[in-house]
Amino acid sequence: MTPRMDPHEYARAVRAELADLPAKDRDELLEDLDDHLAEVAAESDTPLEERLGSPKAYAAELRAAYGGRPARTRRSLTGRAAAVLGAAHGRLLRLTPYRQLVTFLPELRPAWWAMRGYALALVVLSAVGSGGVVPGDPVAWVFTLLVIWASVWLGRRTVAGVGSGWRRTPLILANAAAAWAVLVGVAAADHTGVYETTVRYDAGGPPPVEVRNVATFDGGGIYNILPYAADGTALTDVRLYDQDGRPINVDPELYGKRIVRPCAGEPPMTNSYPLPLRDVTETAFDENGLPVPVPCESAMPAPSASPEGAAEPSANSTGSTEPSGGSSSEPSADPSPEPSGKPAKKAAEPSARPSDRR
Amino acid sequence: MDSSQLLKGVLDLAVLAVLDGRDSYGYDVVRRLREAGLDDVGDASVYGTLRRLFKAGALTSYVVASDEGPHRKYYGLNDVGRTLLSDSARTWTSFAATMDGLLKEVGAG
Repeated sequence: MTPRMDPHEYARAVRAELADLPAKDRDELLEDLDDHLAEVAAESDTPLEERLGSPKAYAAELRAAYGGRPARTRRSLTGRAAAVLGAAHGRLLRLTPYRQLVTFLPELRPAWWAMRGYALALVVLSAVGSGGVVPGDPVAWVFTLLVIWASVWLGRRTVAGVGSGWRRTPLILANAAAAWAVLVGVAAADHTGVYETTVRYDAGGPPPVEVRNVATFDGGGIYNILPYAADGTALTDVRLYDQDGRPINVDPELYGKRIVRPCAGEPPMTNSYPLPLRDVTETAFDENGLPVPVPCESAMPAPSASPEGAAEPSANSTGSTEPSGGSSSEPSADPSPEPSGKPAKKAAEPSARPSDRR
Repeated sequence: MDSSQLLKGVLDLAVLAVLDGRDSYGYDVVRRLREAGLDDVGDASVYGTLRRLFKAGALTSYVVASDEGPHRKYYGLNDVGRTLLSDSARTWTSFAATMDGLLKEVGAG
């Protein structure tokens, strides 16, 4: 069965196994190998491979004995990477937090199995056309649960050490795919969430554009826009639209402000800048301490009205409809922002004096 | 316990001890170690150890032509080898005594 090797063939095979040693070392080590093996062979008729093992094993033993160190066979790239990672792991184990992490990570494995199954099921579902981060219908749910079950089953088998060799590569690929799917899914869910909270639809009109996430200054968000002409004149009732004709809106309520709702006329346009804003807390209670849902205000505050005047809605509504401004179709609370100090704060307060709009 | 693991640590000492008795060629060393009771000793291990000790300067070597077989390279201890042997023997004796002390109670039970 086994081709019988003579000592020279055996020695040649051993020499080939040690081809990676420096030539000088190898020659020194193997100088007498042929004679030695001939001596061994001369003693018995039993084939060398039976008495000494394979040339490969013999070479490994020689290497260990001669080097006085563990066999350093040629390592693959992955082998070297594993060695580097192993050494780093050993050093990190001295750190208590890392040790704790290593201790409890295995306990998270079942969670990963379930998530892996869920993610892979969704990848398959999206491939057949029903995408999303949640299965769409009962059939999809049943399929998802089956995949989760299979994933957990496979995970338990692998931990038990049943999986071996050929089975590991697909498993690694499946894990990578699942991890990728989880990341993509999280990113998609995040994206969806943003749209849900920021896109608001005007009745009938095109969806307004939110600018609160578009730009920020000084680390704060935008909740009002104060337009000025080139000569420094403050402009009012400036309607802003994007390139598609959608109104550009900000979201003052995120900053504790609300748009003043006039008592008469239509509600204010939400893209007519600067917005007449009130601090929500300023107008939250009436004289009796009862919360006022959203008090309306007369279109033009009395000259003597303090900023707190909002708490006591003025009955004085003279000159409430003000047809100036050309495009203005509804009464405006008409705040008159000034380019001084803090414009945003100014805009939030009603101007005590009549507007000087042009 | 796998005695081949233990043997790895003391093979140098064993080979030096064998050569201290008389000079030997490679396969003869293997045979004598086995006769002494180290049945597990590997041919390659002995050969590699001899070459390493020789390279380290602990052994002398000379070739003896033989009529009926291949030339035999004999190894023997030089001064370095003898010093190495006595140092290693001391280390071993002390180590073995420690282990004996540890195992005294176990052995009784």
